[in-house]
Amino acid sequence: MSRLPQPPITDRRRFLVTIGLAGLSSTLVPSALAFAQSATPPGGGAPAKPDSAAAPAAPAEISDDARSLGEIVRRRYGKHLTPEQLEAVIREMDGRIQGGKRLRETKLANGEEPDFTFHA
Amino acid sequence: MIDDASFFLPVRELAVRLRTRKLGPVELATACLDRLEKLGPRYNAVVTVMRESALTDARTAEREIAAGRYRGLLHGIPCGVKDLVATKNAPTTWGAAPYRDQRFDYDATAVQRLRAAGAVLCGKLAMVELAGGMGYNHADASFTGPGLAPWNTKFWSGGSSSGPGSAVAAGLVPFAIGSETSGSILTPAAYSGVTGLRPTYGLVSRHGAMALCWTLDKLGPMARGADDCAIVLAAVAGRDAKDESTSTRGFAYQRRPEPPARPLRVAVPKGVTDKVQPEVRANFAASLEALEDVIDVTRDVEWPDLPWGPAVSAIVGAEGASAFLDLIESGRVKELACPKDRHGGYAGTLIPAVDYLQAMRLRRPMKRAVAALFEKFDLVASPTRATVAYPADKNFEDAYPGISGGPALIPAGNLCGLPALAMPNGFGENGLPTSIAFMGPAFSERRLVQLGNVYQTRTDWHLKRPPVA
Repeated sequence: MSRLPQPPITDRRRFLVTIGLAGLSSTLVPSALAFAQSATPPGGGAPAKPDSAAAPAAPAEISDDARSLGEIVRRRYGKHLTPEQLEAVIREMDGRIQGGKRLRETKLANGEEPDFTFHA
Repeated sequence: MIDDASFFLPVRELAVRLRTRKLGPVELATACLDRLEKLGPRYNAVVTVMRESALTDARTAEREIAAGRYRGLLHGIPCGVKDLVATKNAPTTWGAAPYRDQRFDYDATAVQRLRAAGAVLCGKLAMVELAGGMGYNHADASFTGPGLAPWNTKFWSGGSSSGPGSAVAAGLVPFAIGSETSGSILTPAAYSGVTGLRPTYGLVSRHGAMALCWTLDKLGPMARGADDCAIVLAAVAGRDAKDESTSTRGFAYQRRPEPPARPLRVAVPKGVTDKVQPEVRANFAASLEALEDVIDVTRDVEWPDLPWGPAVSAIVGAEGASAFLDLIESGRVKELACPKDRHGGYAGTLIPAVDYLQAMRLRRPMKRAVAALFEKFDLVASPTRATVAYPADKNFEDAYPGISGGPALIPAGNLCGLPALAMPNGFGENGLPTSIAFMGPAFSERRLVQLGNVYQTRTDWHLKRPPVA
């Protein structure tokens, strides 16, 4: 299985790419950038610089979970996707998995309901 | 013959001319229709010019005003709507090739209300395809081409309400209706140099508007100034039986000339100017200084440390994939303009329900955290965007490396359904506008507009005109 080299999630460019792939946008940019901005360390610290002055980022592996989900995408929608597009979808999956981890890190009480209300 | 300056007048001033019959609705509509046709293509701002229906409406307005049946400040005022708002006498394309021939046999509630107020709908304005729901990363993400900033057409007009931004900026229409799921009014307002008002979620009916994300989508005005935005909001806001999410509160507006009775407590979150472009930082500081006698600023306020970005990503991803499931599963996304949009929806189809629900559950503590902040402050201020507009020929992630706006205020404001007002506040790189945003608690539009009016009485950035020939 081929694996694309990726900078770490803490790298801003990588983060933007992840978010961009995450289909996040109704204004991708605002959302994506804001998403990236939200990745700054608590207290507003700066993210790693992606410019040429920054140290080169170490490549990061795409997770096995993302590869597994990618296989589902390939089976369901592979006829609509080129190999390059499928690889991009897998990278997006990886970003979404990271985002999901962040969502689960915030502990919620059992009684904390989703913010929508069903009416009979 | 209408002089060029008239196309850049605020709604209130145009209204005076129309009411006193110094200017006729047909004359004004004809001139705007001509500008939409002639200048709109320069900015890829227009999808459909509605000449026939607009002139019919303008003639009606002319007769009514002449007969003394004046409906109010929007009577006879031309306007445009983002092309995700349904209208019965023009296609509604959602900015996307697969829908370029789509038609509806009804008007969206917002359009009905604009017509009832006497506004003259002149055109359907361009937008990023599917409001950006498939993850675009380039200005060229619409079947009408990249939205271009009238200030410098090598740069993007912002998205996803790209057409409303550039059409208002170039004086093609005095105001327009845009939409925001997470940034789509504020960003084009900033990049195009106009004023944009994102209303509280539920203040304006979404009936007839393309759904990207049912729990985040909002329609709102984009215009020359805050006063204009408030006039338009007053016309379109309010309960609508066809949209269960709408509030009964409505929005009544009368311009108050006086500043707030007491200085407004304004929080500037920590980090919002640390890594922005220098001109953005300087113009933000100057804006606060211009208001120093009417605001009490506290700097470096800690913004609640919650997963704003991942939450909005999960919600938009899941709801967007559901809203466009047929397009994604049929493979017709390959007809979209932006290469990234052609595959961007597939990952959304596999977002775990638990992640989506976790994000929706987090919205309650998020709202509580922000509400606690608004117990100490009336408003939050920040640069609307960390940079001026992106180059139209670059991927967004390559546009301004190293620039960042700090805390995720746009996702936070949208997740909590809060209103925000973006106003031009100067210029930065390449002659492009910069912008300041104020955000308030739910249903604080009146306060936002009041402060906006004070700012725009003291400055004239909102009256600057791009080099439109």
